[in-house]
Amino acid sequence: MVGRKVLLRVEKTPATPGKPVLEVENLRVIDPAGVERLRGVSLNIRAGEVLGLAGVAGNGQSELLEVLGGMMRATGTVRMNGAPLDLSGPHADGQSRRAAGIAHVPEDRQRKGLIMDYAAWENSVFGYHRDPAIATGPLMRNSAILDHASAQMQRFDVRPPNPRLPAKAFSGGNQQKVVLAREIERGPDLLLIGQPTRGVDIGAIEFIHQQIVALRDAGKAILLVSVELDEIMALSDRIAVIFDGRIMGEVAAQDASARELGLMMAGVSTGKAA
Amino acid sequence: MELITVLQILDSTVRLATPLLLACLAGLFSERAGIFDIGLEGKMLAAAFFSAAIAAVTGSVWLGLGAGIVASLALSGLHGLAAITFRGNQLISGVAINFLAAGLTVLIAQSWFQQGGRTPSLPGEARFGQITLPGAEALREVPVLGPIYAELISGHSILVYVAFACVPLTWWILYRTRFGLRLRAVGENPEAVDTAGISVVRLRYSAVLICGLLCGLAGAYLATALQAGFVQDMTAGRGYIALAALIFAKWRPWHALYATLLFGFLQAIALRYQNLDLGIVTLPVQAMDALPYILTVVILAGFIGKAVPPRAGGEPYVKER
Amino acid sequence: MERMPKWADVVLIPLISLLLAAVISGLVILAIGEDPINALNLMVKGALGSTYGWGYTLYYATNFMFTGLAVAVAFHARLFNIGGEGQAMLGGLGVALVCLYLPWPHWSLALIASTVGAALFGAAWALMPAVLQAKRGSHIVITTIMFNFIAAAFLNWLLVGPLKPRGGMDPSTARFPEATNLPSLHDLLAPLGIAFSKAAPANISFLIGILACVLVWVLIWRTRLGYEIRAFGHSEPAARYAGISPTKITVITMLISGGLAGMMAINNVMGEAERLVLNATEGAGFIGIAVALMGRSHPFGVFLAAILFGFLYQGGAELALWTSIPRELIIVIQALVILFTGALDNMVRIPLERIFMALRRRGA
Repeated sequence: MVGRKVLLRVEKTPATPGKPVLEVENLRVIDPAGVERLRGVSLNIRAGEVLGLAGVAGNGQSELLEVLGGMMRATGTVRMNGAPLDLSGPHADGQSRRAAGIAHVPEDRQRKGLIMDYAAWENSVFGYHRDPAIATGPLMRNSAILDHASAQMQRFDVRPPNPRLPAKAFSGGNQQKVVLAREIERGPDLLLIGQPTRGVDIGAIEFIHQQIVALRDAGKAILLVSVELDEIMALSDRIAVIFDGRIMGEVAAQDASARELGLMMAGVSTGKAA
Repeated sequence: MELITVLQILDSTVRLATPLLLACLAGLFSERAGIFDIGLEGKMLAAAFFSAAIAAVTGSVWLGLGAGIVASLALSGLHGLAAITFRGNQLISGVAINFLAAGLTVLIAQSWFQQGGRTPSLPGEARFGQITLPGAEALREVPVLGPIYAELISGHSILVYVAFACVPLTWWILYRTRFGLRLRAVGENPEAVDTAGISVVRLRYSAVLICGLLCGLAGAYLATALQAGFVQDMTAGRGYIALAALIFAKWRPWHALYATLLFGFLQAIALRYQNLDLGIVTLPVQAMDALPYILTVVILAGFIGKAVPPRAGGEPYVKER
Repeated sequence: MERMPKWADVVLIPLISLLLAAVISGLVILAIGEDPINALNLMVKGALGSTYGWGYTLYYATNFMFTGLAVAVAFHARLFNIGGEGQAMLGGLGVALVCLYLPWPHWSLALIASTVGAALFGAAWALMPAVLQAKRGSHIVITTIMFNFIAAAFLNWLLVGPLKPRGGMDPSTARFPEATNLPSLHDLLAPLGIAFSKAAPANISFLIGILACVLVWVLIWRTRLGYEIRAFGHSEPAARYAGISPTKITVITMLISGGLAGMMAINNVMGEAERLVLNATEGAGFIGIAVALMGRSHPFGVFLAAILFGFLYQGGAELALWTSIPRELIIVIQALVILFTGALDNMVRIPLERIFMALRRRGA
């Protein structure tokens, strides 16, 4: 996109990572066609850091997000705050992941992150609609949700801040803010975020980046997936590179060079195996 | 059981399987091109009525056949308009066509003939007669093969032979012609066909019209060959059985023949034996009636292999802009 | 931006579709040599001109409310339940078993039990197609059609065999005991000083139909389950993202849908026939499709469309009585409504959207 490089100077202090939040070991996914999409991925993320996952689209990063988000089954071990997650059983779903403190801003917000025909206020609880706080028995407290959505849209500078408009009536950037607001404001321990600024207008990109950094500074763990290497380099504290379903290597963000990352993304091992 | 009884049941099987086979092949063309068609029943019914009505009025069964085909094609055109041109819901369109035919046939029959929604009984010359194949009588005395030839193979109406000939023809068109290749492609991946510069719309319309033609034959067979004239709702669910057979056959021509013969056989048995004594249990006639549907559900449940419909079936094609 | 205002989508399109269906029906009537205006007059007089007519109109409307709601609920999950007919037949069986084989001291208790029985049997008949769709991906349209035929054969067998009383002449169950007979609208309105035809079959089920409309509205737009059903209907990948199980929603939605279709039996079997007869549903399951499409899957729309089709059914019966137009005219009208509001929706919608766009451009 035009002018991306200019915009990607994100103000942030060095990370102060805490205890490990997410520990992934030997994660494998075989798709319905029998192709192995993840071939034993291992990585971990600590509190208060952003792990950027760089890679050319289609090398397994989408599958990783979907497994962690509860949308796809896998084998291997994933621990969240020390407790193992169900990867293939009855609790391998989005509800259980949210309960475990994982929030997920999906790569495809229009097909997955939002119901395009739902109003913004309805989308503001999508995925969290089972929260007892917004319900009375089986009924949803629609007016309370509406009020909350209205305030949230103000805080996240969603334009126009009208919660009754359907999601499809907003621009890409404002749609993303609706998703981001929903996922961030519940204070998750881990945020999965895929292609945070794809199809997003310039003004919103900066805002979204600031939110990610603020979340990190609040001591949360973040897994950032993006095909924009500049975005990964600007936001991450550590950068892992995925190629053909495997982690090719991992580097600290301040030591990373675009050339080195680019080589790893192309499948060339640089000797810095994870 | 005597040979002659067996032959009579098989003969009846062939007669009853014929409309199912024609309708099944009709559905096969349409669905292979990605257009679901639950309106087979309605098209057959319309064709049955118009073929009988025109045959009754003109005395010519061939004019009747023509009218039946035209009526069926008209409904096919309507389905095409809804499903292809206006990208509407193909299932809903099919349902509408079935009701349209069910209502209009009786309405027109009543206003035309005033016989309570039926056409007059067709005299012999306004029906498709039985064709005796050469040598059938001469060979009748030959043991086993003679009666089989004379009873089972000879002595059907022309449409029966047409229906059976349609099986290899359909196979040949689908798998050996460029049109067939494209037709199958448009049911699996219309984008690719479109990218190749071939009109998805025209291909799908052709498929839908072939479907109309075959349903026309099926309906005309019902009213002018199997029976002598039209009565209300005379298709009696055959369009749905054909649909079931299509799934049973997994959308393949030769298997369509086997499936419709099986379902025709079930109908023949049900017609001959009201309650079938199997020694241990007695099957009521209703169980025989329900059997094609139960078998289809079993097939759909995947107990006997998985039935996978054409991938783009039921989805209107929207060109990317 | 929305291409046209919501009211146009909700009100204008169904009305135009209805108008098109009416015009074509009028042409059909002309073609068979009758006068459409006269026919309309007869229909209005026959269906709405007396409490007797209203009694039939509302009776039919009650059937269509249940089957229309059944189709509408499934539509919200983008499931097309053509099996309302079979589910309503099984509902009739549920009602018959409750009324015949359990002793009831009062109709009110019998009604509650019958409603539950009807809903359970209807839901049970929807269960297998639902599970096959959810687990095997077998198309629910095909399986529900198959189940309609299986239901018809099953009921046929029951009514000529096991359920037929000794010495019964026609294929039906015995009469239900007197204590299970439901009060008709005549009985209900008489204490209020309103005279209503005693002969008409409309009964207390009409009120239950209205209650069902209200409850379905609450379900779809006010509950978490409704939220999930609609979300699943809009986008399955999004539902998966939100942790909504497609399997669970498909099965639950179809159970509700089948249950609603089955509940029709309290009207036609318990309220009117007072025994289970062959082909008791008379195609009401299919009319539910037209009603749901016409009512835009909204319970209030379903209510209005059900009344409209109740009018058409009673009016059509009157027409058949007084003119040479057969009852099948209503099947044609029904087909046209399904065609225009369902399959040819875009034919009406696209030009209308263009008109609104042009108007807006001029206004801006």
